[in-house]
This record gives sequence, C-alpha cells and structure tokens, in this order.
Amino acid sequence: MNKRQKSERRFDTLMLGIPVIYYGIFMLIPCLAGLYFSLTDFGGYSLKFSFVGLYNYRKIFADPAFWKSVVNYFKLYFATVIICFPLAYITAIVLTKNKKLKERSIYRILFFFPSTVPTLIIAIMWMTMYNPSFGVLNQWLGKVGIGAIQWLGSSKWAIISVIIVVIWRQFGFYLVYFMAGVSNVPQSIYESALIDGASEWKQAIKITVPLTWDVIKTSMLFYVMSAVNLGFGTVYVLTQGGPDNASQVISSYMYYQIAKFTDYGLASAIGVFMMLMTLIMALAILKLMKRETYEF
Amino acid sequence: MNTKVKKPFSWGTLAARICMILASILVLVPFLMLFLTATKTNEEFYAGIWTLPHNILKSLPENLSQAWAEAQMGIGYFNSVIVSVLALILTLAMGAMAAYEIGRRHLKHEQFFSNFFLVGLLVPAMVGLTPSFYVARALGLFDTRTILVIMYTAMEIPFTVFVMTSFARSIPSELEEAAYIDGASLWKAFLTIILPLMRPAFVAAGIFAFLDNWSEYMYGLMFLVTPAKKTVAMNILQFKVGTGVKVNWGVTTGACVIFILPVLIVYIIFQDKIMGGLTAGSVKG
Repeated sequence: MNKRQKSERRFDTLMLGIPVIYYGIFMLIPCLAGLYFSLTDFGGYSLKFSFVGLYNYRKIFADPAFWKSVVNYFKLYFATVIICFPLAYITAIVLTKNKKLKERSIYRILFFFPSTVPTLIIAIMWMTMYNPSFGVLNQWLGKVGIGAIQWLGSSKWAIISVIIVVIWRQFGFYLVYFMAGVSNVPQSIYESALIDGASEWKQAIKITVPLTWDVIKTSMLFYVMSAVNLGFGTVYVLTQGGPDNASQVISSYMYYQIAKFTDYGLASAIGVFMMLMTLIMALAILKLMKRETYEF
Repeated sequence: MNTKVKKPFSWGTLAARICMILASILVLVPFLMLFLTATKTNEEFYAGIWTLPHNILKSLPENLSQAWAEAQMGIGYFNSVIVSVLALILTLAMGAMAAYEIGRRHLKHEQFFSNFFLVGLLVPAMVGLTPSFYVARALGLFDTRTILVIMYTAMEIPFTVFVMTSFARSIPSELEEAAYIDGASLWKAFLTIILPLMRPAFVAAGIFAFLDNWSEYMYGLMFLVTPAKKTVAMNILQFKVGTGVKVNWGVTTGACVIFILPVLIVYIIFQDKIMGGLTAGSVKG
C-alpha cells in the first residue's frame, strides 16, 4: 500500500512539476523580474547595467505620449466592450434562437474567420481599405456625400481606425463565445416565459442575460489582456503609433522604447505598469460584475 | 411527427437576414480587397479600386513569385513550421499533464494550481519581455530559433491548460477506475485511457496554439537578427507597409496570401473543432 502511494506521489510530482516549473521559469518569474529590471538601465546589448532607482518611472510618468498610450488602451478596451460585445451578443441570440434563419451556420463560420487570421494580415488588408485615395472606405463615403477622411494620417482618426479594425476582427470571436453561452440556457425556461406572454426582448433581458452573466464577465476579463496584444499587432502595422503618438497604445509604446531607443529598463517600467493595470482591471471587473450565479 | 410545420413569413426574420447579409459584406470586403490586389500589378492597383487585372494569369503568378523571392519566404516557411510545430508539441504535452493533474487528481491545492496557470491569461506576456531578453542573452540563446520555441511554449501554456482542464474534468471516471481494478498503473491509465479520450481537446487547443505561433512576430523581432532564421510572419514585415516607403501593393498582398494560406486551410478543415474548443473549454469552466 505504501509503495503504491509512493509511486502515485512520484507520478503527481512529475506530471504537475514539469509544467509548473517550465511555466514558472519562462513566464511568471520573468514577469516578476520585470519589477527589478524596471529599476535599472539595462540596455540589451551589454549584460552589465546599473541600478537607477525610480528614474524610469519618473521618466514615463513625465512623458505625455505615455499617458496618451494608456488612454488609447482604455479607448480600445471600452469601445470594444461597449460596441462589439452588445452587437455580438444580439447576433448570438438571433443566430441561436431564430431557427427560421436556415443559413445561420454560414454566418457563424464567416464571421468567426477574421479572428483566426493573423493581426498582421488584417492590418495590411485594412491599409488598402483606409488608403485615402485608393481605399474602399473613402470611395463609399464619397458616394454618400461625405468628404475623404485621412484615416491613418490624422491624429483624430488614427486611433479610431485602429479600434474599427480590432472590433471588426473580434466580433465573430465573441459571437461564437456568446452563442455557446446562449445555447446553454435550457429551452424550458423560455417556454414558461412564453406562456406568460413575455416578448423576445423581455426574454433576452430577463432570462438570457442573467443566465449568461458568467460568460459576459469572462469575456470582459480576458479581453483585458487580448486588447493589449491586439493593440500592439494592429498599431504596429497600421500606424506605428503615429501621427505623433496619436494612436499609440501602451503595448506598442513599450515596444518602441526597445525598438527605437533600446531602453529595456524603461520598457520594463512600462511592463510593470501594464501588469498592475491589467490586474487592477481584472479585479475591478470581478468585483463590479459580481452577481449571484444561477444554477440551471 | 409535427416537426415540419411550415412556418409563416416573418418580418423579424427578414430584418435579421438583411442585417446578417450586410454584416457578411462588411466581413468579406477587406478579404476581397486583399485577394483582388494580389492579382493586380502596381499600376493596375493605382488605376482604380474595382478594376480587374488585365491578365490575371500573368500578374498573379508574378506577384506571388516576386513576393516569395523578395521576402525569402521559402526559408521563412521552413523556420515557421519548425518553430510552430516544436512549440506546439511542448505546449500540448505540458498542457495535458497539468490539465490531467488539476482536472482529475483531486489535488489538495487544486485551486492554487488552477489559478497559477490562469494568471497567464490575465497578464500580458510582454510584461516579462526585458527579463526574458536578459536570460536569452545570458544563456547564449539570443538570435536562435530555440528561444522562440521556449517563449511560444510558455505563452501558449495558460490557454491550453484552461481548455484541457475543463475537458479533462468532463471525462467520466468509470473507465479509469476499471483500469485501476485491472491493476494498471497511473502512468498506464493516463497514457492509454485518458490521452486518447482527450483528443478533441488536443485538436482544439492545438489549433489555437498553432495559429498564435504562426502569426507571432514581436518576439521574432526582439530575439532574431539573422535573416535566415526569421519566420514567415517577419518576412511579411520586410515590405515596410505604412512606413512611408513606396509599397508595391500587388507583391505585398501576394505575400499575405501566401502567408495565410495555411491558416485558411486549417480553418476550413477544422472550423467546427476550433469553435467547439473555444466554447467547450470556456463556457462553464
């Protein structure tokens, strides 16, 4: 018996130990070590560096471009949550419940596709769309009598252009995610509501939303991090953060501190800020969206 | 019996259908632009948005071959396949191990280990960029493809564990117990019973990891300098789109088409599994 327990113990230690150690060494420890590097002037080329205290933090906090990139990150995050999520959610309800829409699986497959395409390609595709003289968007706007917009070249529109691309790409992803939640709600609950004469809107708000609250919460939670990555991928190709940092998001701002100035210490300080920011956002979402969960 | 009742016409359905068709157009047009541009010469691109190429049999192969040669996409493809596949194997192996332990072994600290991996879904990997760079330099792994494999694996583990754990939980325990009664060891039960049953989770998590690895380029830009080591995503960046340099759009979009071909194929073959994996792992996780 004892031998059996011993071998079970060895099994568990190996099976869990290998991934935990690997993931710890190459992911979690680097993230925490970022705290230390943010207090140094590590420049990447030489392994020698010195301790500079809070200098990097003072420098980023004094840089208006940094704050612009933080604000732009929040614009990206909330624009998606406010525009993309409700659209995806409503579409999810329609595609799940309207059985008369025979071709609904085609829409789902089509809408989901962009979220599997690399942001790099998405961004290049949209560069052709945004082209001020040869792009489709300005041509369409011209047809309805609106003048040409300098999508990527003007500081007003650059970040909006980035947000449009991200929303366009993520719509199908959240559609499919929400559809899974919506279709999990048992049909019997709707049937009793139908007997009470509740309208479709009322059913959606009183039944579907509360019963899929966890799904909505989880997507808001995970989008905190996705927005960081998507922001970088889109900005890097589409605008390089320009013009004049108008469309910089925090991740691309961090990247350019390394790419342009090889300032790894400074980038690390931004990374630490980013880590705190995402964790605080995650905790805030968990707290604000706390509701009793319904078992069904 | 009465399932095939003819449903009456409904304005709601018509409105929904019109919205869906409009949305489909919005989704399709950028792709259409990409493929259309790839078939045109640069002059034809500037001649007009919707003009069709004069001689598609000449301009399309020319764009594709010029893209392939100019960006050295042959080497890039080779590197991408090597890096993505190696990282994928490591990710799936470790993901399955962790998922089995967390999902099925009723560990004392199950919640702790579950959160341990979940943190990776909340904190962007970029946070650890500087220390990773330091470690890569210190270990002499800078400018090697090995460091990409290591980093990609680390980045993909959280989501893989997340998807696989909820799948592992859903496997009924009878099969395993029967094997134990027959005297099978834990190793044997894991390898011969659990792993085959977890195939759908492997497919779903694997596709996501592969697509991520295939399209990643930031770590490539950070860690690689030798052109012959670059991945195909980095090859695309050689066209300097958006930097003010004059771009040959036909060739650039041609390179994009070559790049997303595997993505398109993977999607067409596995689309139901991709969506299934996304939903199975996440909804009641």
